[in-house]
Amino acid sequence: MDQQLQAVIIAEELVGVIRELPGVADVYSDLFGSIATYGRGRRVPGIRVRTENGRLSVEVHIIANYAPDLDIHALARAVRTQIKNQLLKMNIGNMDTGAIGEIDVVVDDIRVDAAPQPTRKA
Amino acid sequence: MNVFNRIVVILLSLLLLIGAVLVLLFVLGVVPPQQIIPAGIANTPLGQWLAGFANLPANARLTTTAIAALVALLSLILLYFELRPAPRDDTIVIREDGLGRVTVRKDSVHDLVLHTASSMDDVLQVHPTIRRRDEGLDIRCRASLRPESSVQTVSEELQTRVKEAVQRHLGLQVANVEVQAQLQPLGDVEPRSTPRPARRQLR
Repeated sequence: MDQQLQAVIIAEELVGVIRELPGVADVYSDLFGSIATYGRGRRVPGIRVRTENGRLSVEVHIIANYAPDLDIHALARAVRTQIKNQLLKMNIGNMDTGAIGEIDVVVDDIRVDAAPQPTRKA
Repeated sequence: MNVFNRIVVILLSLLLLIGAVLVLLFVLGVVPPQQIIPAGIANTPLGQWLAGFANLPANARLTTTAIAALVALLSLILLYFELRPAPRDDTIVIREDGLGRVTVRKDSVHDLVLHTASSMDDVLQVHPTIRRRDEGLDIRCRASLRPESSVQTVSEELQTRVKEAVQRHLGLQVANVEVQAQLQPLGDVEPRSTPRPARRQLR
C-alpha cells in the first residue's frame, strides 16, 4: 500500500474514533479544504496525517462541545490518547514507539448547544 | 493543498488568463492577431485557431466575448486565492510538550466570552477583542447593558466571570479584562440571541 493511500486510511480511522469522544462535537475543516488528508481521489477533512522520516505525525482540528465542566487540557489529552491507542491498534508504532511522532490538537471552535440561563442580581 | 498542486493551479490559471485575454483582444479587434502571435506559432494549428477569433461573425462575437470575459474573471479569482498571503496566525498555544502542541483559535476564546456574557441578564450585547501578551490574554469587552442596571456592578461581574471562564475552561492565563460598558446599544454588534452553531463542521 502506498504512503498517500495509507495516510488517508489512517486519517479516516482516527476521525472515526475522535468523533466518539463525548467532549468533541466534530472535526473542523476550513472553507478551502487546507485542513485535510489527501490521497488518490480521497479526502479526509479535519485532520492532517503525514509521514516524515518514518515517523507519523497527526494534526487534528476539533470543535469542542461546551459544558459547564469543559476543560480543554483534559479534552486535548483524551484526543491524544484516543489517537495513540487507535494507532497502536492499527499496528502503527507497536514495534517501535518512535514511529509515532507529534500529535497536535487544535481547538478551532466551541459549540454551544443551549443558551445559558440568564442570572440577574436582585 | 500541497505546494505541487498549488503550482499546477497557478500555472493553469495563468494560461487560462492569457488565453482569455488574447481571445478578447482579437474578438474586439483591439490588436490584430499577427501583431501578437509569434511567427513561429502563427502557422501552427494553435496560431490559426487563435487568429480565427478575429474573423468571427457578429452573432458569435458576442457569445465568445462573454465566455472569454468569464474565463478571465474565473482565472483571476483562482489566482487571487492561490497567491494571497497566508492568513495570520490566530491560534494560541496552551500546551507544548514532547507529544505535540495543543492550541486554541482566538475565535474559541471569543465564543466563550460571548457565552459567558449571555448568561448575564443585564448584558444585552457584547463585543470582545482578544490580544495575546507575554503575561497572558488581554480581553477587552464593549458591552451594552440594560438601562436600569448598575454599570459598575455589572461591569465588575462581567470582568470576573470572563476571567474565570477563560482560565477554567481553556486553562489560559488572563492578564487583563477591560469592560467598556454603556447603556446605549452597540450599533455595530448584533443583539444577544440564541447561540449560533459552530462556524463550520463536517460529517
